[in-house]
Amino acid sequence: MSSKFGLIDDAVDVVDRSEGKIDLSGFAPVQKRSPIDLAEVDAAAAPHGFVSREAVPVITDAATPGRRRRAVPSEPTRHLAVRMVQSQYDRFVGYADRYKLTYHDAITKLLDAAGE
Amino acid sequence: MCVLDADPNQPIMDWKTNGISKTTLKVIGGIKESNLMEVLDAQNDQFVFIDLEGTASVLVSRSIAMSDFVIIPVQASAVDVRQAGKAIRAVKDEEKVAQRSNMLRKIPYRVLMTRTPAPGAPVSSVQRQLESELVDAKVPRFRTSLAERLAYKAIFVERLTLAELGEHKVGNLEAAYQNIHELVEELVETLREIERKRYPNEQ
Repeated sequence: MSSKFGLIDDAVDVVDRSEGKIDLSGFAPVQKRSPIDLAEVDAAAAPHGFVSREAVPVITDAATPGRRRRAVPSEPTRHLAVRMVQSQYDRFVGYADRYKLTYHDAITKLLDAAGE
Repeated sequence: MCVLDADPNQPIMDWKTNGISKTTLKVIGGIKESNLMEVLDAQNDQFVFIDLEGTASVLVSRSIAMSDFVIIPVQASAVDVRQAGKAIRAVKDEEKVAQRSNMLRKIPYRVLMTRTPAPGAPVSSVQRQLESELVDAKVPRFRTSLAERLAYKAIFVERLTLAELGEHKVGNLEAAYQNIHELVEELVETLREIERKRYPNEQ
């Protein structure tokens, strides 16, 4: 491009960016990752403040029926309290909400799916 | 080359889709915790960059866990340095997690000083202290810093690449280009060194 007052030669003004190209040969395309345990990955970072920043979808549809009270189970019940990192909690509660399951039914469904 | 825009504000997607740049750079947006692994696995480019928001999040820690190399940009401010400290600790812990299944797995990282004064401009005492602490803590860092330059801001204003900014006359374009060139050279040299250590018999 010519300068306003014609004092700069075009050849000087133009920056030739084709020069000084960097050699990128020898780098193979990225490899497919080995599967990683996301729960372990999340748990390792949680103490440093790395928590989920993604909003959990909230079901606000008024027409959606709430959870119904179930029949009293015939076998004795036991209490299980689990402390977990926020992201795991959000995933689990989101899962139960999505399928409209109580937490114990959600655990049963996951165990069934895992073949346990 | 591909960039996964994992910043919720989607700045790179905005730059790519709303601009007129003729760049062949591939940009994929909408990266979330749930699809990161899937999207990453679908790429077969030589280099895949994941651009993340400067905050501690599960998306950041998962990206670290899946990376071959982590660049931690730091400005000379107390807030930034503390955030960088968190990121460094997360990288080390994610590396330990990965080593449970693969003892040889490493997640190398380097701190990159950004928005530093251009060469010749006065350097703040905060930056001097930060650089000194990085040396004392033996934190690996890039020799090259990314200076604060109008041209880098103009890339996002004009939605063009640095090479396409020629006609816009934004600051010292030549110096900006030189700075980027040096940084990329150092990055490539660093990645080659990492590859040499990872596969010593293949060189």
